[in-house]
Amino acid sequence: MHLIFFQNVSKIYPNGVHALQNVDLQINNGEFVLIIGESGAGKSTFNKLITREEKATSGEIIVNNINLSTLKERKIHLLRRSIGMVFQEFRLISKMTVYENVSFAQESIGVQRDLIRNNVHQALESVGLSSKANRFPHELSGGEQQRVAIARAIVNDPKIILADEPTGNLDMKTASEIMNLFEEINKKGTTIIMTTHNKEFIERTTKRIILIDNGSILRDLKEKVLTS
Amino acid sequence: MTVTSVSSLAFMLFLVGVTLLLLMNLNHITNKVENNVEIQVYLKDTNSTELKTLWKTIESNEKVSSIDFVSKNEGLQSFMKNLGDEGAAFQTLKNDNPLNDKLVVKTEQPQDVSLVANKIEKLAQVDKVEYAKNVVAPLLMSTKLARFLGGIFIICLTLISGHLVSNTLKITVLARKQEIQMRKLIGATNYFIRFPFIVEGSFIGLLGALIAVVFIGIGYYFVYSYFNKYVNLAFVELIHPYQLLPISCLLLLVFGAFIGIWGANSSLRRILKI
Repeated sequence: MHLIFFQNVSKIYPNGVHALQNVDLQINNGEFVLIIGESGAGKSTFNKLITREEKATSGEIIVNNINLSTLKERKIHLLRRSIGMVFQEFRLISKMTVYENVSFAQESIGVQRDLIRNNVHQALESVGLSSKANRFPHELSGGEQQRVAIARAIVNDPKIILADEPTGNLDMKTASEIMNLFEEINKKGTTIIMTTHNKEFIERTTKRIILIDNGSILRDLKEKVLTS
Repeated sequence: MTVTSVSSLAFMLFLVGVTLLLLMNLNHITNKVENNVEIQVYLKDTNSTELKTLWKTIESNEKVSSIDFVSKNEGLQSFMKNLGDEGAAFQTLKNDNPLNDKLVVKTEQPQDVSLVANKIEKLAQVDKVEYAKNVVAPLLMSTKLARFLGGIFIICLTLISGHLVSNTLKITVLARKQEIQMRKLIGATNYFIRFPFIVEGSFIGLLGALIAVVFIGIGYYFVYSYFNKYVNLAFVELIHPYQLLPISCLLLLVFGAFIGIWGANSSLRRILKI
């Protein structure tokens, strides 16, 4: 059973824009997938369909055994609890400390207070920011802020991490560190779906690459094995 | 901003409360007048048998609730008493009383007065019929109109108040927009997100209502005292504060909380759609 399943999915916005056209796609548990394409290709729409921020105009989408076409509004939160999100612009809450930004994710899904502390510290440790729990976002570098965002995304132990251009605002060195972090998370079994147009990553990566252009999948390059 | 909203809301709820009290008192006065509307049936010279027949005929009408007989002497006494000291001048009329015997008829419903009076007027032994024709119908119509207009006024104030609370909370919502959106994407339920705003909204509503209630309570107490002291009209009396204020104040508090909650929900509607 696929973790993410798209069958003949199309999305047409009210203004007439065909964001996605007849997309067929399957992503399995534990995969690391790069979605690449120019601006306006349909990458963001693809992400929004997975989180049900948008509803497909036609076709079937199944995420984590949940059929999104028939999913009722009042149950959407259950789908989203299995997805951790990381954004290009980090989206940390500026008036909250690092600790609070991460615990915020646990509070939002109703985790008991006595469990939150332990979970948050574990998440911060896995991204290497335990010592900065009391700092505010503006006191951190870009790379550190993105690490906090990743900690927030993983603290609820999601099945999927959806990363939308997570290295877009970072320099090469920091971007590389962030990519390594995602690799470590993926090794523990979390499926990673990352949209990017970072050419250097794409050229060096061995991960599965899906190329989207004009709302359609042009190429789906499976994970390749590097030979010396 | 919250202080401004609470005071504006208090003012609007004050107006709602005043309208409510006006309508309740109008209702009270109307009921009193309605319950005392009598038909004065002046009789021609009748003997006791004719009187009995007339009585039975009137009594047989199901809309009639009571009939009383007032002899012409009793009528004259009552007339002289109503005039006070000046009534003594009519003492000489006792031997040549120009008044007729009369029947005083009351109806089950005040709306039936005209109908019953018209029927009685046609009866043989009846000289003439009098009732407050020029008071009952206009009073009933005025009460209906006042209720209708009062209702519209209260609805308008409710909508404005709800809008006011919603706008106040929208500022807080906007300030926390990023946080709310993230909570939605992380998987928080709408209830979890709404709850703090509902608490804030009902607090604003209750506080506004409380201020309105204090002013209404003090104001009505003074109005009632003044009315009792200086206004002396038959059937026109205000409801006692201890009877009226507890229930109307409680209604206002509940109403205020409701407006607060409604305003809170309204402020979040758009942002919760993601």
